[in-house]
Amino acid sequence: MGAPAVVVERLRAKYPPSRDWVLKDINLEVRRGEMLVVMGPSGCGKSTLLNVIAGLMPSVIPGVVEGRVIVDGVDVLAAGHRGLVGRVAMVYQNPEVQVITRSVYEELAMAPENLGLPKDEVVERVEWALDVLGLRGYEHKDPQALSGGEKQLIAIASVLTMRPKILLLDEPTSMLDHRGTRMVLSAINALKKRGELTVIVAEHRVEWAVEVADKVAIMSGGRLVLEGTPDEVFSRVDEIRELGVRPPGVAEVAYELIRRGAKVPVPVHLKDAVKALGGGAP
Amino acid sequence: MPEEAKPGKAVHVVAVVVGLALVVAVVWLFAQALAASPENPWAAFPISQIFLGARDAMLVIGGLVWILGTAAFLLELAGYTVTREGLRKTGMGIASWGVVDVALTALSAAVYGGLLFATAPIVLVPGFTWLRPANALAPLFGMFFGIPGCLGAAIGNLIADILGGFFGVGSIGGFVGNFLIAYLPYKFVKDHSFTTASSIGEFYVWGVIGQAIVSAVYICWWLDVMQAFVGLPIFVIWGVIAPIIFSNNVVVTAILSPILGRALFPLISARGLYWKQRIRAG
Amino acid sequence: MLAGIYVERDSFFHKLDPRAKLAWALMVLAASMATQFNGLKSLPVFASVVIALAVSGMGAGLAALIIFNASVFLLVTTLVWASMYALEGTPVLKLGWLVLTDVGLLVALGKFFLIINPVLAFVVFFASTKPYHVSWTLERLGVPSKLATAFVIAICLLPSMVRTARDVIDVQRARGLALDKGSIIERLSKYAPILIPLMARLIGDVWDLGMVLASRGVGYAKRRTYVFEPAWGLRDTAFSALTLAFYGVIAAWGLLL
Repeated sequence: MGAPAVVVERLRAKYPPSRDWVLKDINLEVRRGEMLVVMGPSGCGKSTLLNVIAGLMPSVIPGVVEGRVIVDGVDVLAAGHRGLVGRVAMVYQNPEVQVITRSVYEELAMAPENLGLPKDEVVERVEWALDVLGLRGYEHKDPQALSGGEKQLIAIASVLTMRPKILLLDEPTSMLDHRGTRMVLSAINALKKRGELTVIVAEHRVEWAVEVADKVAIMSGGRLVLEGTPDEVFSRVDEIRELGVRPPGVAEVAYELIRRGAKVPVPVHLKDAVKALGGGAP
Repeated sequence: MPEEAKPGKAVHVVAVVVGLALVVAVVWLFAQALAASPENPWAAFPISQIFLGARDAMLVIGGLVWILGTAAFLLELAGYTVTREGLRKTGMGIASWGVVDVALTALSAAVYGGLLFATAPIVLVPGFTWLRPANALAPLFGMFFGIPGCLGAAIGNLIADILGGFFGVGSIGGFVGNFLIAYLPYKFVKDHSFTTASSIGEFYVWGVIGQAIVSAVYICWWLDVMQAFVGLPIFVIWGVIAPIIFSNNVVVTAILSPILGRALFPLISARGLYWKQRIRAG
Repeated sequence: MLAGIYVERDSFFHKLDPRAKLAWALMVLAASMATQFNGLKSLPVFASVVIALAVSGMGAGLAALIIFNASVFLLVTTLVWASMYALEGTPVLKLGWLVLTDVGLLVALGKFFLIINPVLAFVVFFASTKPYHVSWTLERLGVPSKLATAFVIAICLLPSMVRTARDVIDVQRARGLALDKGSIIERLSKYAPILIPLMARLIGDVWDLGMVLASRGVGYAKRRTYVFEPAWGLRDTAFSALTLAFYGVIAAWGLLL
């Protein structure tokens, strides 16, 4: 089975000069090739958790971090973000700040160029990233002139050229419209299906998480309060509602029916709801 | 924090009063000169007469300012500063820069250059004399962000020259001159918060009067010495450009910078971007 | 008008090595310096720069626009030069206390071209050289990589910053902010509601941009790779040789005769 991709033990983190811990006693393990979706209300610590795993806190973002974080076999708190270059890559919420050149090709080449890799290898990585994300034809376009969804795809491609083993995405669709959201979520699905990456995504979109995640973790008040497969987590409708997370629509409907006296299972996936109601594949 | 000694507080109040009086005097003197000699106000403007009359002295003083200013620029970029005890490492030289320093420099330059370009100047004499409100940001960049902010102001001015089609040999003097506008208040003002009399008083001494004199002398000495390359007559350099730089920098920074500084310092320190916070954290 | 910002074109100048273009701009400066006392000898330099503007796809009209924007400044400067030579040559024009002689006018024209020729040459350089190549050129000139990177990111973010500045100005104007009314002091103070939101945006973006740069490995390697490293070719050699000959002859003409 091999060592896990990410191990987090007794993690606490806070920002100076605050006395309050933003992350409190987090314990988490993510296996290689797994997709973990982290959910929770705003301010619960999702971004902070991702920044710690990426090695950005405390080495770039000032903060106090205690505990143990091992990413791809590297002790993150000892190595800092420079020790994780080529192992972990991160994509952020705001697509506007993530495109900083005047051509898509330059944008994708930037990371391997900064690593000082030979030209041939830089070109090979850029060509690979263009194919993986379906960006052929975009090479010479000005990324500043693209839509939000396209910019976010460029941002993902531009960190993939680092050939990371772990990809972190911090609410990558929160500033996008419906079309842009679909583009980005499809791209993440495609990356997951390739099986080469361990993916950790902070996201609010429950129906999407239900379909693609191997594991879901729900945070609240800086703690990891629920963890498990989507079925295990999202069937606990009352609990996750109290934590500020909206359950999948089909689970909510089933729960309401049960409350009114019906005897039905609590499906999490749409297909399970169809089956429970006596339907089948068309 | 101990209460300010009364004599110290009085000095700072006097500095503010003198600075504001200087603003009023500059504006009034120019209005008088324009009324007396509309076709050639420079001949009647006393500040032009001062600069022109002292040209020989200006060459000597300007040379000294140039040597000291350029030395300070190069030393700070190398990570050293001059103190009473001699050379000291600052930890802010380019070799020590982290990604946040690069981001600060880039964004300061983009904001400053973009504003110099996008905001219409307040025209006093069409095509010749104007006030550039964006200049109020330069001393604040230095005080709040340190050397990355000083370089941001320098690069921003250079970019404005390039965009406006004014880039030439003179721009080299403008580059270091704008660095010094930001550098002097960063180096000599102790309290950057704009919340106490000493903070505002020191700003008027170094961030209004000091930087205006030094930048006017530095830039115009360079233009004078580079006459053969730049093509500007002595009268225009010392009689027109020097008073413009001096007057613009005094008036704009005296009126606008304290308003901006007072409003922005809490935001900047709340985000952990004040240079003293980052040096400590680093 | 963003005169000096890179514009994507498929022109002769766009295909030149940045070093050849930089050398050309410096030769324009040198030739303008050599002919600064006789504007007629500087005229071919000016013509060559206007041709370069046209060939690079910027349009010869840009020269007229740049000169027009600085017209008052240029006019006063050249009149000052002309008046300094009022005692040399034959008087051609009398404007009140100002006497313009033929020598004075030639010197004034030469000084005018000394100011404007290099400015236009550098407009061609920056408008036809990608920021990526400007960064490469800066590093070759010894500028530290982090500073070159900051410069290029600033240039790339500039259009969006200018747009944001204009949007903020429009919004504040719609809220009743009259920037062109009031005394000088009042008008200056009115810029606070424009500058503060822009600075707030900067403050908000710094950490995000810093983390993005960290994710892209900025500053990781001692020496950054440039995939699109310019390659000096026959075209660059021919262009440099031709321009050296052209401007060399003009400079000699200006200095010796």
